[in-house]
Amino acid sequence: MIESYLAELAPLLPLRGRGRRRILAEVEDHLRESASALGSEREAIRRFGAPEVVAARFSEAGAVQATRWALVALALAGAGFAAAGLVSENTLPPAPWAEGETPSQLSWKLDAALAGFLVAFAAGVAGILLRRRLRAALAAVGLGAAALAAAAMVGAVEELERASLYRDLGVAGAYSPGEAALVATWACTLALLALAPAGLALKRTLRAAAGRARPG
Amino acid sequence: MEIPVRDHLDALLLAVLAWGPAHGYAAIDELRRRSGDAFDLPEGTVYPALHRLERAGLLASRWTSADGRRRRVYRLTRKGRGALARERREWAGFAEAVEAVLLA
Repeated sequence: MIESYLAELAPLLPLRGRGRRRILAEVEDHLRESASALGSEREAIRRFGAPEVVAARFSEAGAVQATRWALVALALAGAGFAAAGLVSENTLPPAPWAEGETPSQLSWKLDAALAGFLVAFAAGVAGILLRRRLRAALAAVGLGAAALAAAAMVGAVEELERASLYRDLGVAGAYSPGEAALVATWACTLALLALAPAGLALKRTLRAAAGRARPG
Repeated sequence: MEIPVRDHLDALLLAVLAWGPAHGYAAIDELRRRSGDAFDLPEGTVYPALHRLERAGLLASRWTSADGRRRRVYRLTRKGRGALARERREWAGFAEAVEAVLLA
């Protein structure tokens, strides 16, 4: 009976590998000791709780941790975005047009990328302030991650279009195809760095919420 | 008597482990014994709390062997003792305020 319980619990746990083996070993030790004290495996399992409830609590604990990681990832992605902006500022030659006369297909993208970065920054700060309230913190981190990922992609498109425009206008020092690929790769990396941990935190929170519907 | 223990589980576990290192089953048993069986929660929900407290640095754990069985034994860390002291202060203040209103 204990073996069946462990087999039912294992796939519901939010962890894999060593983390999962550790939990299962602890649960098995607990159930055997409890069954020995109570004289009944069935009663030991009843007292331990339904596998869905136990797994949901682990997901909940994992969601708190994952939300913290997502905050750290958001901060790193934000720093990477800021660094990319600085590098771009010092790499491309001065614009061949007067200030305030930036072609509209570039200016709106620049504004959008900057707005996305500011939203991500504000959401990150909100996530830190709300870190004790899981759902609010997760919502803030999710918004920040989406805003930063969008900003990175729009910023990269703007950067590549600008370089292309420079080439068309015969401005020296525009990006080579290799450098352009680097810009695109960096943008995708930042987007992934921001989105993947936020997605993991969301997944664990949803699993915890699904199990919370059960009593216990 | 049914007491909603879940919101206070972290503090209760820290308090139980302040008496000395224990594995999960022993900690739960102690929690039930000291509460006079008032805290009757699904035992399996205690392990996620232990893992969370360990990740927060309030507990440390290691495998031990006893009677041919491997067990994960938890102990309070220095940071955990500080957290427990804070929890005790907050609880004392809360209980005092509730009593002042409820038993007036």
